[in-house]
Order: sequence, then structure tokens, then C-alpha cells
Amino acid sequence: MIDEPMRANLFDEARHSEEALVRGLRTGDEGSLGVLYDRYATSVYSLVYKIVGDHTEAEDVVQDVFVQAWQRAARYDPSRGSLIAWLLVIARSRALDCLRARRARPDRYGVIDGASDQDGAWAEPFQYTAVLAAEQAVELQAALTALPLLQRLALEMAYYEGLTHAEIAGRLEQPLGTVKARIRLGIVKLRAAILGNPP
Amino acid sequence: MTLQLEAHREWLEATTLLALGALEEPDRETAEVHVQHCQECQREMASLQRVLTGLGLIAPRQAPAPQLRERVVTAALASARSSKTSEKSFKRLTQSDSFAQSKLEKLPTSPLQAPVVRRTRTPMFGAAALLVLTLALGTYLTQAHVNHVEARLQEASTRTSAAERHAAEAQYAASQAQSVARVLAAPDVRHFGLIGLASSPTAFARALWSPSRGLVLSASNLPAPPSGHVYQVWLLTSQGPISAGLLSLTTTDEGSLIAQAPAGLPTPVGVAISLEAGGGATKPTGPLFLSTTSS
Repeated sequence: MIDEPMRANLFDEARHSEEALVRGLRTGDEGSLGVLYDRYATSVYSLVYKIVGDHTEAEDVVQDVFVQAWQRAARYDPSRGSLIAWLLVIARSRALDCLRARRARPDRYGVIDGASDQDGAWAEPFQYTAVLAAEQAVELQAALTALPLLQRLALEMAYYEGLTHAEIAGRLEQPLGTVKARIRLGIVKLRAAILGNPP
Repeated sequence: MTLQLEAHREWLEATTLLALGALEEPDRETAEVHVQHCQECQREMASLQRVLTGLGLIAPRQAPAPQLRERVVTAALASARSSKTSEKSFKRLTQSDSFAQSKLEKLPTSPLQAPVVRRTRTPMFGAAALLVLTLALGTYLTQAHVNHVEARLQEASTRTSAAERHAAEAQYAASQAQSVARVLAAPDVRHFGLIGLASSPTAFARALWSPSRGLVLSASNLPAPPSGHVYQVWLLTSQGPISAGLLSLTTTDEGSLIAQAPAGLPTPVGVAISLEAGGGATKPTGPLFLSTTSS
């Protein structure tokens, strides 16, 4: 069991380490690029693979993510959230681009290399969010598993498959309003599990 | 007040979908405009982002291949050097232009020469220098662009066969997803909860069975089957266990099965999963790992 002072110390250490890494990235220190990869590649790859479902494509997307992170390190604002949260925003965006390009005709595959229409998401106007503690991750996973099946499916289709609410409604053969409500209910329950807010 | 709360509840739903990127145009733009002017929705967006990051972090762990590290680092450093080289070259050319201009300004004028000739010669030389520099810069940029396009064409050509494979995979995945959705929406669907037995006490599974649309099953916390063995799903009926198919493992401890409902199948009273040797069996012979609790 991790008590609050211990948790604060662990987060302080993580924050200082991350600050040094960010300084290195901004100054173009090549060693920092290696540290960035070593520290976050598995998390990034896990999410990307979950979305695209193919190792070859996942590798391409992960390469894009880290190249863009290296090129745009100056844009990262630590006051808006953690480095991993920033990377995951980029990773999800690029992975969904890849997935959407795959859904289109093969002769439009080249769209992957073009500018993503999600590029705006790389400069989120809102908090990236703080890092998720290990226990919170466990609680989130348990909460996700405990969601009613349709709420869970709707939420996973939106997050991991990048479907719009209209597309989800079509897939599940449910009314649009029902899908919106299910997604909302599901995510509020997940939030309550990790933030303790009443649903 | 009630109407306001109701209206804002809809905005909160829209904010949720906006955070997920699940809104289509023009709803997305409308929601973005609203959020920019609504502090409550801005706070909502910030807290939702935390959940979404959490969803990213709890994706099943997949370690990338070791050789990806070098590929990524090399690509990132090369991309940075490429952009710096372009900048330096452009700066060098424009600095040369400025240097030439500064030298021109220092050329001595002779009171013996016709001022008209002097005045026209200098601008012509400057214009010629500028033209040469512009052509050189244009040539460099054109060559760089050609190189860039060639590199992209090479990448595209190597991905063509992969694209065809991906299209087939995507079609299969789409048909699987459609099958799941149909079972979920079936009016005659029954739900079965399976619990782990002695061989796997922490395992659990959910099964949805529709006589008209088939079976969808999802299992978690299963131990990895030994080499040469598979998990097989059984529908328990009055006529004995009937095989529904083999569990397809999506990760090391999770599996799923989507199966059609054969005509004339007796109504299942339960579902079980056993470990079978080889490619499966006609009846359960191996140990049972999960069995239904019924719902």
C-alpha cells in the first residue's frame, strides 16, 4: 500500500527526472531521445498495436510518433501534463489515422504520410493530464471490465477504433441518443473509479 | 432551470464525444465553439482527458521488437539533420546575397566616368547576381523536392502488398465486429457468466448466446495453453456438450470466440471451456478451466 507522502515522493522523483529529459529533448541531446524511447516505447507501442492490430503498421506508427515528438519537443508544455500523456495523444491520433486510411480504398493508402487532420490534437488546448498511478491503472481496468457490455463496447469503439458516435450506433444497431448516453455513462463511471468523483 | 440543466446535459454528452474525437462535422465544430466559451465544459474536458490517457495506458502490454529502437532513433536524428541542412543552405545563399550587395555598395566611383553608365551597371550586376542565386536556390530546392518525392514513392511501393493484406484483414475484422453487434442486439440473447475452476481460479468469461444469431464469448486471465494444446468452448445441452469452436487468443491471457448458431441446436443450459490436445476434440477430454454460473 502506498501512502500519500510516499506517493508524493515518487511523483516528485518522476517529475524531476522528466524535467531533465524534457530539457535534453529541447536542446537536441541525442541521448535524451534514447531515454525517451526506452522509457515510453512499450506504452506507446501497446496503445498503437491495440488500435491498428498489426505489428508492421504499429512499428511504422511508433516511428512516426517518436520522430514527431523529437521534431516538436519545443511545443511540449510540461505545465499541461506529463510526457507520456503527450506521447499517447500523438500516438492515438497517428494510429487512428492509420486505421482510417486502411478502411479507405487501397489507392488512398498514401494519405498516411500526409498531414493528419488530427494535427490540431497535438496542441491540445486542455490538460494532457497527470501520469496515472499504478493503482489507478488497476482500478481503471477493473472499472472498464465491470461496465455493462454495451457501455464498454461503445467506449472502446470510440477510443480504440476511432469510430464516431453515428458509426457506433450503426455497428451496435442502437439509436444515436442511446449510444451518446452509454458513452457518457461509461466514461463517467471510469472517471469516478480513478478520480473518486461521484458518477 | 430544468430546461437549462437538460440542455447542458446534452452539451456534456457532446463534450465527452469531443474529447474522444467521436463527433462528426458540423457537430464537432459546434461543440468546440461551445467548449471555448463554457468553463464547466472546459473543466469537464480536462478531467475526461485524464480518463482517456488512462485508457491509453491500460492497453494490453506489447513490447516492440528490439530492432525498432535503432530504426526510430536513426529516423528521428536523420529527420532533424535534414531540416537543419535545408535551413543552413538557405541561410548560406541569402547571406551570400547580402555579402554581394554589401560589396557592391563599396565599389569606388570615378568622377571621370559618366554617372549614368555607373548607375546602370551596378543595378544590372546586382540583378544578375540575384538571378543566379535565385536559380541556384531554386535548383537546390527542386532537387531536394525530387529526392523527397522519390523517397516517398519508394516507401509507397514497399507498402502496396502490405496494403492489400491489410485490406483483407480489415474486411475480416469488420465482418467479425458486425457478427458481435448482431448477437448483442438479438432479441433472444442470453447471457452466461463463466468462472474459473481449480485449474484457473482467477479466470473469467462472458458469453452471449442467441439461437438466431450465434455466440460471442470473451475470456480473460487464462493461463497460456501448453504447446500443442488449445482452449475449446462447449455449449452444454440436454444432449451433452457440443463444441462451439476453439478460443482465439488475442493476448497471452485473453481469448475470444465468435460462432454461428447451427440450425436445430438444443437450447444450451450452460457454457464451458476445456483444454484439449492438438486441434480440439469431438467431446471434452481435457481439464475444464471455466464453466458457467448461468444468469
